[in-house]
Amino acid sequence: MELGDSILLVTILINVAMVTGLLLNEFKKNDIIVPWLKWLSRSVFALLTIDLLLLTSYFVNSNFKYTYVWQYSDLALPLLYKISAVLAGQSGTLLFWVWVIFLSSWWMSERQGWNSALLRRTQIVTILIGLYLLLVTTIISPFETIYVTYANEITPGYLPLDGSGLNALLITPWMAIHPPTLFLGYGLMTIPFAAAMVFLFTGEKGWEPIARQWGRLTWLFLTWGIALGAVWAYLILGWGGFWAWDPVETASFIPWLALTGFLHALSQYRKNNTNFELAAPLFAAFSFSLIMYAALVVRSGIFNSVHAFGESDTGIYLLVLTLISIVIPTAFVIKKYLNSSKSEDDKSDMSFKEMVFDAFEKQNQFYITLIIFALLALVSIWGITFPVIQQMIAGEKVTMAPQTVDFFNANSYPLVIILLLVAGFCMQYKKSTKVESMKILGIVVILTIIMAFYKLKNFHLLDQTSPFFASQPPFYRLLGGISVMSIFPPLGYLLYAILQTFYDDFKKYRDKRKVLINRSGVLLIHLGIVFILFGTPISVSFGSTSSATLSLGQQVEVGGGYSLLLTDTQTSAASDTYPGTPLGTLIANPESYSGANIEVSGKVVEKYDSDRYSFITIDDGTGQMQIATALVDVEKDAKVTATGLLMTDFESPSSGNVYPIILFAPDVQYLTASGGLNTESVYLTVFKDGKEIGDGKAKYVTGKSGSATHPMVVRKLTKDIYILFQGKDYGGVPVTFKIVPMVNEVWAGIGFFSVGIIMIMATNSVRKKIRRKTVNKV
Amino acid sequence: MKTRKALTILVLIFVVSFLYLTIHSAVVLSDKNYAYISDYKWEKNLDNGLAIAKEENKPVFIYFWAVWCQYCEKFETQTLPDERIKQMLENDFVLVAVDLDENRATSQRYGVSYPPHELFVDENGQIINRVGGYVDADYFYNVLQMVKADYDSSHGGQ
Repeated sequence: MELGDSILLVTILINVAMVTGLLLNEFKKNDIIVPWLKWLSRSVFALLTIDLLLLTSYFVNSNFKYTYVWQYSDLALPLLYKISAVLAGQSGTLLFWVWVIFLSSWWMSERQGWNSALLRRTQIVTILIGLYLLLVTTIISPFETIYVTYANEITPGYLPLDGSGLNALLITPWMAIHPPTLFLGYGLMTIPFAAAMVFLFTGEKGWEPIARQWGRLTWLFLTWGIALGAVWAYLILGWGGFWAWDPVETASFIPWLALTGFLHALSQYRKNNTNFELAAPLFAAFSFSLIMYAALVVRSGIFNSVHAFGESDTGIYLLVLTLISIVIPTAFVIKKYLNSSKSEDDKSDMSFKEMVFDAFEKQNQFYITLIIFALLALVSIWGITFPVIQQMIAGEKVTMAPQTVDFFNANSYPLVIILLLVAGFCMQYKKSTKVESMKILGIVVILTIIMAFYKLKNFHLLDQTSPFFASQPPFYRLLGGISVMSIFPPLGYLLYAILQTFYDDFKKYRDKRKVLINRSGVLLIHLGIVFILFGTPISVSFGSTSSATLSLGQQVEVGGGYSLLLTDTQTSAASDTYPGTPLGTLIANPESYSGANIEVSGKVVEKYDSDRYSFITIDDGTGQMQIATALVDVEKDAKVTATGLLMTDFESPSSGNVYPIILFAPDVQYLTASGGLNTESVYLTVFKDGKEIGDGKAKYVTGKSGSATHPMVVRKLTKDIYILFQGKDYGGVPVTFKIVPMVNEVWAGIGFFSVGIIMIMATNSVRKKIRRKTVNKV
Repeated sequence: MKTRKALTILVLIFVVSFLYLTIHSAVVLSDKNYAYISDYKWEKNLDNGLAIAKEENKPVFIYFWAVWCQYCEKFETQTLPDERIKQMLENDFVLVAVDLDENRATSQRYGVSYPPHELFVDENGQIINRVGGYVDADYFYNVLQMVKADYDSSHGGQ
């Protein structure tokens, strides 16, 4: 057994012991495990850390004995990407995920100990989830060797000379940090989920502070993870932009929606521990199970093709966990609801008018907020899931709309508008001025409706100029006709509410810095939403694209007053390195190698098959020679390697040909790599109305695992000037020139999100109180 | 409590009608074999395509796509329907569409790692040109002309 697998096994055993001990303690009041818990938790975390480092070291040392390393790395990969490749595939990601779960568990064990029943129970749930994923990790182990994976195809002892390489699209700093960030978020969500479960099982009121702070941290990492993916899609996926509603993007956005809903529910729940006492844990549960679902979509391949379902390794295990983590909490919530609804039905004789008025109470506005978050999540879940269900049931591929983006945009938009209006209203809400606030809201709603009919160029929810628009079902034509201008009144309203609240807060809490920072954090996050929802539609709708072919030293107009000057081009080719003895060396001195077992490699330049042998001529740039081997099928220009016996002046008994130098090899193998990436760079200067406004370079990278574009981007406050280069294949340098307006406002919005949530976490006032309480109990 | 109940019922009605409407406005993509995309008829098998190319003396356009790929849809709805492109593709090229999910061998052979991807090969399967990702009609039309010129110059006398 591989060392890495052995460590996993030991970790599993320790965890089983911990869970058993904790359950004994829970149900039989048996304390035998209690003094050991801290150390057991430490050892689990330490072992998993070692295991993760072990896998990383295999990548760093290019140990291609391991299938996972061989699949996602190669010798020429720079160190950073060798490390980031640990998370390039399914099994490494899963190991990292498990590591994060036990990092959280260990952190909680160190910081808060094991003394309260709440903490112990939360740990039980956390460890059980970790244990489950740990078992899955051992099944699809990243430590599996090629001798196991390809048992029928390779001989024992064979070691590949090089790996098959990381996809060129992933070789960028953005992709080096995007997966770890996202999966940190995924792993951190385990604790709030566990705490919510404990609450549902036992009714422990103390779950909220734990869930709150861990939930916020999860939110921060999920936000960053999604944002980094968006930046990557914008830059490296070049033509793509970041608003594509690709299933993978959508999948990681869904738990974010649920988690955001959860944090909103908690903000009310914490006030008296009764508001949303069912909704809050339910949202926590859904956040967690939707994370499982996202992992299922992203990593298992089920959404690329349902045919891959059987082949996909983790899919079914993740699906099981997804379902369990939905069904159990939902059942408990329903049970709790049925128990509680009998007792309270106080306002049952309200008139319709009273009810409408009541809907504008703050708690009910929050309730609407939660519903909207749930509905937004539903739209996204449905949009990526229905095609899969349909394919499974009916066997035909469908899309939700002629253009899938339309489905998500059209159905989410009205919900977002309501959400913005509710957010603005809630922020302004004071019981004393409720009627006044409702009047302002009414005006904004009327403005929004008017704007929905405002025709402006192509600023509609759906692209009406597309030939597909006419064939859209009536449902979409109706929604699609809405002018996106209608987003500005709600955005302005929310912005106004934010600024006004900040002004009031500042006056009121000037002396209580902590409270002020905390409240400003909340406002800043909402300001972030204003920025993102302001920038996104504009950047998606008002961009312009043109293309041009450049030649060195010539300034070329690209429209809109812009022109481009190509100042330099550069090509760095992958080095053609061949392992083994250089052929030139052999040819220069064949006698000293004659009769020896040696390794050679090179490119196939000629091939001749006799009845029993293949004679292959290879060239490695230093010389040419023949290899005789059993009949094989290799293509011309393929790079091959062979190890065998070198003969000089060999006379073929069958043909009588004399070969001055020939290698007899039992077989030849393809060389999987020639090392590194080909990079073509073009250096450009951008002019606007004759004035220079920026310069830089655009790159086109090709490797053995695909190609990638690294555009040149000149960032301005209100727009990006974005130049894409996809290789100079024919006369001149073809480039695509894009203006993307207001995209930096979107990134700024993400920045506000991050700063805001950090401000809130840093001034979390209740944490200390709770810890004191727990300590007192002991 | 009553207000929330009313809201919840309202929302449930909304959800049911949403599901109903979206199911009924879902679009079945081309035919079941994917022989038709964007009004073009495609070969699904590269070897068949190459054989036709040999016979008709034409370069092969291999279009790599996937069902879940939004930029393929954009390419199919905005670039491919262009009249100039349609005329050129149908007269001067052999068309092969490869579903990245189903035909991984062809994608691996040409190092195609993402859809959409537009690849041009000669009758022996040697690459003439490639374009990664979505491109607009003008750009793509340019590429088609270049490819045709390249192909014609290397297949001069024939």
